[in-house]
Amino acid sequence: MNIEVNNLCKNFEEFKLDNVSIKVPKGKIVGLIGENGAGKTTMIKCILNVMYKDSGTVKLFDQEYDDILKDDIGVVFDNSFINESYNVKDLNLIMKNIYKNWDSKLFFKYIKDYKLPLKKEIKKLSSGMKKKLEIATALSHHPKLLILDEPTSGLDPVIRSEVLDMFQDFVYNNDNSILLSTHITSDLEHIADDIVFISEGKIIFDEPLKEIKEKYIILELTKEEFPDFDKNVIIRYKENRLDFLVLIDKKDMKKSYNKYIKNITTLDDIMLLYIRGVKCED
Amino acid sequence: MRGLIIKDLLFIKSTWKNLIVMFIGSLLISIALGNYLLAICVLPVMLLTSGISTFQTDEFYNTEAYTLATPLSRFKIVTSKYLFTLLMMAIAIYIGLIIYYAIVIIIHPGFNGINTDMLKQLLMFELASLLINAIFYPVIYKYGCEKSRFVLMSIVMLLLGVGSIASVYINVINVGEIDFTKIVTFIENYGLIALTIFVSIVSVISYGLSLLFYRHKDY
Repeated sequence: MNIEVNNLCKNFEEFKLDNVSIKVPKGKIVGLIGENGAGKTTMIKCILNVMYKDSGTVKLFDQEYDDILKDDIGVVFDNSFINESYNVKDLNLIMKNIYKNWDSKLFFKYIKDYKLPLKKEIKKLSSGMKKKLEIATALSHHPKLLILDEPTSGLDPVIRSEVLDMFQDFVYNNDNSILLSTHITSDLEHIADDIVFISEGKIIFDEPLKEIKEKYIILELTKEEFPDFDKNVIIRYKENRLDFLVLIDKKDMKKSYNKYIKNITTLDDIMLLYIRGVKCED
Repeated sequence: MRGLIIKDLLFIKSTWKNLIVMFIGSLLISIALGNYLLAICVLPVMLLTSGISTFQTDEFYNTEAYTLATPLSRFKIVTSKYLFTLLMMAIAIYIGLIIYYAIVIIIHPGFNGINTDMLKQLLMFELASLLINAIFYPVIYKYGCEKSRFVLMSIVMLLLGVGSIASVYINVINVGEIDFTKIVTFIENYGLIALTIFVSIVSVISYGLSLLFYRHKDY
């Protein structure tokens, strides 16, 4: 296991991460999804000891947490990097004196592949270029684990696809794995093995993506059809202006429901129904 | 740790144009006044207080969180900041001496106003700058850059206020009885040593407090 978090708790005045447990096995990409303020970044920061946990345990590479283990972790944060008055060469100089396994040759290869300028100040790069630089930095010390918070935000679809391919190549080595937190759930549908859905500091589900896709189904019912629908099978529903969206378990599916099936059930839809939808007993 | 010191040195490097302009300005003022102390002291003092600026840029770019995600321990992160400051002290002394000799030899060979007293004053300025850093660092680690200025100002104002009130109601010292010549003589003879010892003690306390505060801080 590259990450094993058990019963992690972190309390703030108006928010708490409540008994969160997740596992990131070797060779897997685990996607972390949830609304803004759900606790994704807090969880990542607690795993990396950037933020102290109140209780619970964090194991990295099957060992108790130690700063030195972070030599094998590449990190991309949503909104935290190096002073942007530096350039790529400065960054290389700094990082090779921080990471034991820093590989300047590999770093400059990424820089060349991403067509990033060597001497331009980071603040003068576009947001997509900055993100690419952060990803190159995260990958250039031969990490075994990547912890990525919104790594593809600001990237155009072509580059995003390249980056996602690179992540897949990264886990091609079975010892490597990725914990990827993102709002762009469509990215995860292409590359993730497992999905952890977190809402209001609690894990809603932690399941293989394949099972999620097989497990849930979303139905679209008109306002006239909804009152007569069997409420016992509804996990969540959401009333829209013209219709109702209903999330059900595929095992509760009946032939008569076929006419209601929404064309494609996406992670976004499931997440939206869990967060904004209503339970029937409510 | 070396990586963080390099990071801060690179930041100073990125400000070299401003430092040169500042030095030229101070040199022109010094020439006009016929006193070169300002020209000698400006660069070293600016270099020393730049430690505080490195905190500001780190806070602006949220670099603290990123740094904590690297293999560096919190102990090493704090220690690197103090080592950087000591390194800047050494560089500041070196630059101060170069400017001193440059003024003596190149700009004003016949000028006899520069003497060892000026070097003493240079060192005192540098120690005073170091003292400012030593006071600021733990407060920044505790409250962050933005808030620390207000925290320090409020402490200074409170101490001044309490002192002022105390001086009105408590007549412990009769100012008329103080022999100021003795104080001046003491400062002339032992001021540098006394300041060095004082700044060293404050710096050690500052380092300890910074470690303590940073150990408990979330980013």
